[in-house]
Amino acid sequence: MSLALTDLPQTTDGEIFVRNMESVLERHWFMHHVYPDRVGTLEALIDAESLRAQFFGDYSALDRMVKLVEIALINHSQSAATHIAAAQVDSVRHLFASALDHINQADVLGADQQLIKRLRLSIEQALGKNLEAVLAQRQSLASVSHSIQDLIPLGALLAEQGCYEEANAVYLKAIESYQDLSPLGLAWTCFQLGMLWGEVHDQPDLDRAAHWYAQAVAYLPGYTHACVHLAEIYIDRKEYSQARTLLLSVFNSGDPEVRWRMADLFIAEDKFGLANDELAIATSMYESLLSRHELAFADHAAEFYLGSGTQPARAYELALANLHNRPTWRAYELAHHAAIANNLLEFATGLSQNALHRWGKAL
Amino acid sequence: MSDHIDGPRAIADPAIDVTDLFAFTKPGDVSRLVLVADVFPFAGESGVFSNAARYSIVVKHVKVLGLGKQAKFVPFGQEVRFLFQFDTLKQATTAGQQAKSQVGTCTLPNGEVITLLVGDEAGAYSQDRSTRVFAGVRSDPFYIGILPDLKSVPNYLQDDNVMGLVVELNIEQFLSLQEGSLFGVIAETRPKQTKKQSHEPPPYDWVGRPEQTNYIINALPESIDLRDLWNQLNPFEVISGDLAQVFKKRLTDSFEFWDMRDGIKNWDADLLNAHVNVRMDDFLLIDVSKPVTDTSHMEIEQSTIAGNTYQTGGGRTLNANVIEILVNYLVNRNQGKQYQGEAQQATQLGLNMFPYLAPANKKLLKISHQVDLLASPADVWKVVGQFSGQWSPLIASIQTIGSGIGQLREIETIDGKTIIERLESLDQKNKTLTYSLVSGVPAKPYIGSMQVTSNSTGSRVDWTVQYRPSGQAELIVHLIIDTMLERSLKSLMVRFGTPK
Repeated sequence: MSLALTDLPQTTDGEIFVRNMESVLERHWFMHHVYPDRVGTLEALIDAESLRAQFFGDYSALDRMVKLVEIALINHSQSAATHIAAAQVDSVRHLFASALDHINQADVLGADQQLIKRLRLSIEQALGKNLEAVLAQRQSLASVSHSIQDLIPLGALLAEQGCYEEANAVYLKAIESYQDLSPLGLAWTCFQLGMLWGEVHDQPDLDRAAHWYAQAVAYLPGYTHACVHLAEIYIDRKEYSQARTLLLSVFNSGDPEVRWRMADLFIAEDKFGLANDELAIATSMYESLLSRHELAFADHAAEFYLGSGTQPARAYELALANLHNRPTWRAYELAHHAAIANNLLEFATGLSQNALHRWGKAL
Repeated sequence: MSDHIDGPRAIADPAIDVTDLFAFTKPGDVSRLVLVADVFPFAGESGVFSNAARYSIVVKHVKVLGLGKQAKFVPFGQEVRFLFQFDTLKQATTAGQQAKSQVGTCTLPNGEVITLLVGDEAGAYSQDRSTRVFAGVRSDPFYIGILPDLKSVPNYLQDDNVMGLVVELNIEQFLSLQEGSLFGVIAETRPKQTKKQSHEPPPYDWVGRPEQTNYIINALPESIDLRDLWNQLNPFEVISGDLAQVFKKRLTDSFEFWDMRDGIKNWDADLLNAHVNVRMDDFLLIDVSKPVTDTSHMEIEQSTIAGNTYQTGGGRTLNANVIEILVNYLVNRNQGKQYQGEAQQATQLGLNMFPYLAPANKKLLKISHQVDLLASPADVWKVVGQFSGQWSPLIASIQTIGSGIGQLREIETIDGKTIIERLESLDQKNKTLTYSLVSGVPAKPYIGSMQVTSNSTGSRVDWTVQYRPSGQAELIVHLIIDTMLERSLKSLMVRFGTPK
């Protein structure tokens, strides 16, 4: 089932939303500087900076969030809000043990129980732990709230477990029940549908994926991940002009994957000199991010080095770091791929046996 | 970064959040009414309106159904609606204007559509120039000096901006006074209607009297949050059935809770019940035939509940201290101790002329000075890192009050002035300190920061002050601060030496 574009809910125009988001963000930073103890500013800044990273590929937001939390932990260490913020930032950076410590402290300091519950769930899901229990809790939360913030993680978990039709249905329900005016929620859901049909499904449907990525970009024009994934499909279809337009629209986002896919586009067009320039920039950007937030970018950088980045040894190193940090099915897949690329066949076989033992299916 | 983030909490669109509603007769011309609705809290300096929402200010006739314990206000007749809608952003055609602009419309009750440019202070007129409308970013006129726990605080909304919608109208043109001069006003945001919708979708948000939701419906600790449920009701409609029971109970519990805040019972059951009945119908009351002043807000309701005929026009002006009016009424019916908040006005006072809302608050001005020194960062920090250190040649004496973060330093300058500053942060490891001005320089706010770092010749001192002039011209304030920084840092060059 696929909704026609005309059936999708109307939201605030993406350009307006982004302008307002930037205006609010600038104001909150100003307030943080002038009135550092004002209640709510830290949370607002962490939320807004998280959005910049998640939707617009601005990973310098992570550096700002880290600094914010460092200061808050010095000045307001006994505040539940500080520890919630620290847990959110650690989660984004894939520092899950530290995130759990902060959640525990926030719990002791009286943080909202629903928020604590959702944070714990997202970490367990990211770590691939207690997934049956996580699924049950996700379903319970979603059945009560019907809100996008519960439905999307539920859909993502179902998709990871191979329940593709159920995941698709949950995402469509998220769209149908959406009552907000912000384009973020719908852009995010459409992107997840694109991921489901383009990346996660064992029988990908790229036309369907392209449909949803395009809708995500229509809702939010600077949505970097959606632009990148859609550009990949265009390159695959040899629709180079459309791919170029999309990549150029997010060229200065700060996401190295944009430069990586631009290199792929140049390779497809036999412009190897330009491709090498882009690959050098992408490598430099990944290494810069890895030097500050290694675990957050280990999986994506490993994929890059296994692909056009052509550094299988570095890919293996990063894939292992990712696997040790969060031994999910996808982490196993990535490490297995990296081991084979480095001709470490015995290790690859071991990973496959481990996966068979854990999930009942081989890699 | 993977896609596991558990959803942004901030996915809602703040541009549809109605923050406040004001209604007052035009200063100096009681034949005209000014209606102001604010949306989008913390709008920043460049906020715009959603193109997918309808923003309305709605007026209806109201009659007083009874006095004292029978107090009740009932709306009647046709609604008078001023409907604002906005387009997507367009590239500005004006030379030199770089940011995209937004155009909107205001549909008047008679069907006339006025086109307006968002942010244009002059606003736009109806064809006969009797109605004038404005939409754009302005200084937030709301201020809070007393928290629900009765704690007195400085204005929590200091320096904030909102998106304002203003309508100035000829009263007799749109409001028939033959049926009475008392009106109820609400402001609301709703989705734009689509062809598929068979009925009017519920509002995203609406406001009648200030703080109906936060200070009243949500006052009770540990209670279920009913604010969203309230916000989805249709204004001016009678609440019926189970919902009426739910909200009556909540209002009763809330008012009893507020009454006992000072430990003294000031509300008897009949009066409290009358107050509940009045609050179940939530609209801002204004009598356009009577004077509306900064203190007349809620006088109509208070007099009617007390069994008296009201004397003023009620309404709500931009400068009214609605929190003090509300809190003192809720706690002791204005009959005991008067609670006063630290905040006594908004960041900027409302204007006496169109568009009435004061201009948006802008970012602070900044003065920065640096100096490179022939000394280690540690040696330099020993001098400048002392909050009580008397190292500047402009300081005659310095005394500190308290210790640690929050301590004050009282500086006597060599020209006999007194400056008081507060230590806001001190980081010995990174050799940084920040402080704020309490008094002595005509600037507010005023934040100073100093940092010592190492460089190839020894160390560098960076000193920055961010401020907004207050009570003096910008140039004068700039000169005061600039001189202070420059001469103080020069003294460090003499003390430690500078690289050639």
